[in-house]
Amino acid sequence: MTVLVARRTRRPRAPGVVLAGVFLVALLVAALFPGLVTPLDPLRAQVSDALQGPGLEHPFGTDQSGRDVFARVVHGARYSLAVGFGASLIALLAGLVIGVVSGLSPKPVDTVIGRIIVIGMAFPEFLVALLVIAIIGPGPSSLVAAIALAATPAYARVARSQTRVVVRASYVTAAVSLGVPRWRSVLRHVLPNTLGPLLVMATIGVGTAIVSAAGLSFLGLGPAAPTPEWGVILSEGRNLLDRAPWVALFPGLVITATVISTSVVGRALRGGARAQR
Amino acid sequence: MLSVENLVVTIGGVAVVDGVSFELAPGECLALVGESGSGKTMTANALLGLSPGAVTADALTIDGVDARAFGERDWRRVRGAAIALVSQDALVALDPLRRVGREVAEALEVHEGSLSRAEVGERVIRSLEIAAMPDASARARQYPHELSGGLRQRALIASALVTGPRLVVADEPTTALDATVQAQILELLGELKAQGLGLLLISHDLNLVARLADRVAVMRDGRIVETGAVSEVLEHPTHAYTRQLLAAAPTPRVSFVDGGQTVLEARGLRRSYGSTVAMDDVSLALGAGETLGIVGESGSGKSTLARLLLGLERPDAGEVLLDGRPWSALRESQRRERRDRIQLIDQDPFGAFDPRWSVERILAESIALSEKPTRQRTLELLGQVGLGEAHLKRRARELSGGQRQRVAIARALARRPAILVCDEPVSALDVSIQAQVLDLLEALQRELGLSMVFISHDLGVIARMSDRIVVMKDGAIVEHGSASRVLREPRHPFTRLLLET
Amino acid sequence: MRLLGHLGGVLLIVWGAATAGFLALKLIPGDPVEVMLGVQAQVSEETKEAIRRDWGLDQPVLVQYLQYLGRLVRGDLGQSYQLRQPVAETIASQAGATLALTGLALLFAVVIALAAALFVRGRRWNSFVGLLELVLVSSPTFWIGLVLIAVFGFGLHWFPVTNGSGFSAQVLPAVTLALPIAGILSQVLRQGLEAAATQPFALTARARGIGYARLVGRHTLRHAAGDGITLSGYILGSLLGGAVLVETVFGRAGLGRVTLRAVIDRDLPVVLGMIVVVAVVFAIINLLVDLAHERLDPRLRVAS
Repeated sequence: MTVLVARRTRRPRAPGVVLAGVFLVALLVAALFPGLVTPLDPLRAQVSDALQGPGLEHPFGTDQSGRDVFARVVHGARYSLAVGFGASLIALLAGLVIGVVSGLSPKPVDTVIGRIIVIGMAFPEFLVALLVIAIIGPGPSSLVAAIALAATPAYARVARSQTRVVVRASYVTAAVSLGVPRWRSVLRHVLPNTLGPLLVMATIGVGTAIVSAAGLSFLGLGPAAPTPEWGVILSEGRNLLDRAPWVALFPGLVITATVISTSVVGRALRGGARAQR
Repeated sequence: MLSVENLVVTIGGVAVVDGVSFELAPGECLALVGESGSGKTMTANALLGLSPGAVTADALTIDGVDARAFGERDWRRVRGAAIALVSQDALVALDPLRRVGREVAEALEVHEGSLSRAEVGERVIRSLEIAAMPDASARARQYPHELSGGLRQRALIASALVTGPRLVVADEPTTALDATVQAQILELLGELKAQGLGLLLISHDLNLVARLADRVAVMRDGRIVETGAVSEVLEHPTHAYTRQLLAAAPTPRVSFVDGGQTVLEARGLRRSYGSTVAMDDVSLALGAGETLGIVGESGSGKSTLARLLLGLERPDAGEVLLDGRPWSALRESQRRERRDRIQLIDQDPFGAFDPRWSVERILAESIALSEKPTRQRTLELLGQVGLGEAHLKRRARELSGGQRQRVAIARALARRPAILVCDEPVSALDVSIQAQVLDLLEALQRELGLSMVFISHDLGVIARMSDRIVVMKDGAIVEHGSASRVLREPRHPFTRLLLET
Repeated sequence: MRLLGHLGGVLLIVWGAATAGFLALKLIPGDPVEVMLGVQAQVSEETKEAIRRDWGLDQPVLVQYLQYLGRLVRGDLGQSYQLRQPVAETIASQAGATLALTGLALLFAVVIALAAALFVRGRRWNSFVGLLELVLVSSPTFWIGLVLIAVFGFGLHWFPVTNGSGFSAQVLPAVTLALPIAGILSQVLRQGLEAAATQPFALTARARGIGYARLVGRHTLRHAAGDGITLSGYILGSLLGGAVLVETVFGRAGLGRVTLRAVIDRDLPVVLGMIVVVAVVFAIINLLVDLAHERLDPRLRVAS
């Protein structure tokens, strides 16, 4: 059955994807150059301004010490993004190595590693991160390590299955019959075919990592106050729910928007990648 | 009983069915023939109100009722009761999570809801028996994947017949089946027709149509280009496209080549996978310049043979000799030096290349194994297979099935082989594209003096391409000899069976 | 026979988790006794030695490991450093509250997800629900809790804000826990239903004249359910992880609070005990998921 020749048209980008992309860029700017986004100092306590609702001067309101919440959120972006990107990057690289090595190994080794990956995936990421922190102690670097460790099995599983697909692919067999050494053919095809799906996973994974980081900080296991990390702000906001709900509302909104944006962008990338098959 | 006039189906602004008209009376079979994209399946779907597009017609009468203004409710009353559908491949056309009996019973439960469970059970068994299902009550309790292909298709047919519809639309009902099983299903459909069923047969297979249909309508690009009695249209086609389709159907060779010195030989090959014996004591020889055709159904061991001949797998016993010297016994590193002598054309044009690679890169990889890749050499190879400079930068995923096979051939030729092993190279292609690729292979063989091993399940294709024929069944050779002798005076009963279908 | 294989898998997971936890604890730098006593404690060396002997920490590592495994088999999870009571007791006493919370949350989540999957039809509604799912899945669980408290607790005064034991006190926490799970379950179910509806068997079924209700009820739901069941592991993880956060947000007693305290206080036997308990629960759930899949899809059953 013949397949219609695919036309090389570019599909119009959905407005949601553009919006998500813009938001993420803005976030990046806030993380790198917070001064550009807001002139206010996140740590400056002005008790006279305490507990003001959102308004022109303080778009997100102020907290019990008079600190501007918007400034705190903006300056906190770098912590959350750093942890999110850092942990995802480490998990991706670790998962890539483990998965590819397993997929290329002889069957018994591959089966054992495969089992370990499955067991690793059986445990919820947040709990694993929690327990890792129990062991290595709280702190910002612990967050990165814990979240990275918890996320690695998922990347390893995808890397392994992609590698296995390539190893068994018809085009590898065809290359062998051409006269290309098998190992050369496999390596040439494994990395590009594996990295793609992993990068798409990571785009969505960064969002999940940011939420995990915020959650762990909220529990007091991350950076200590008065660091304006988003989870820390939310934990402060918890005590102010009856008097100043905006302290808890807006940072959470920003987190949600971040995760939505990474999901939307990630899904768009995945759709684009699928069209390339 | 079924009357269609000027049927138009539009999807996304494009008329995929563009003014089709035909009639069907009880006890008669009308075949809609065409290649993929001709609109035949869209037509069939429209007759059941299941079309994804917008449907208009001057007349659409089903069993005497005007269906043009039907809403979903009206269609539901008619579907499965007045007109029924039989699709291809019962493995996916039946719900794999439900027992066969429940699937057969469903139309009854919808249209004759007042029946008791016992009555439903009886009707199910009866319908299965009409579909010639052996041991019907036991089969009804099984799941589709537990039945063989032929039995599954019978179950699918039974599920369509259970309410006693007088009109059945059969969309490629035998395509997924082996040739011998196809014949049985055809027989069943013929009997049902004789009992008064009106059958609309959708197919791309002209042989099938010739054996079952009374009248045929040839479709192309959403229109009917020719229609008439089957014998008339197939023997005296008037439209150019019909003639093209018929010409594309492979005809047996008339002139044969005598093979020269033996270039490839297999002696006593044996191969098992676990407890399954895929190959049992197979020996054959390929002479220089000739084409050896290997024919058999699925599970006969043909693909295993291809892999053994190419040295992609090691036989459990026996050996393969290339140019009279050991081939299968060598280590892969030793074999690699001589791999330029023998190359593979595989059946799967979609898996044969990394979809992200460009044609240029694919060919360069192959050329580089023999010589320094130059643009000139790449273009030369493309020209040999009928492609051009325009295709260089295209990615594999952008090419059609026929184009990919051409690239696969070019890639194999880049190594300047003496022997080509072709494993079902045209099975996935439309008939007219098949003919083009087969023409190309023949021309290349003549030009370059290639020897070919040609493997296929399609006896027509084998008859066209082969000088000598080997027939395989269940991992063993049941017959071999010159093509003219095997086709005219088959000795083994299995060969005779293949020739009949 | 296959059941034995499954049970073996369960034991493997539990053993793996227990060993991993044990190794991790042993890898922590520093002396566990000093960790337990805290930096400030002024305790003589002899007392520390005595405590070490008490806990069996003076034995070689391999012996400790075997003793540990031995105690595990008997259900003895060791003694909490901080709480001075058996870990098993601590966990057992708090488990009830958490179970009630997660159970209720699971019920809410399944009901909401099923309702969305079965009753939402039409392009506009589908888009709207899709957006809702995205928001729910992307929102941090604890933030949802804070928002719900602010709106329904302090704002509308529909539900009590402090820790109560009545049903109404459980509603907000359970809903908080349920919403993200409902979001992803709904996504998976709806996608599963849609995917199944495009399969050839769905065309055959519709060609028999069935309507939407029968198509979903008798055909596509069973196919989509498979995807939902596969999600069970993730859902359980979400529930347990979320429980820690939700119990903290709402100030409720339960395993979440126990775990958090243990993490902050470095009460390692409790942490280890939780690892083992979670592993057991997970392994059992995985087993049930495999069995459910076999029940659902006859193609997965080994030919009898």
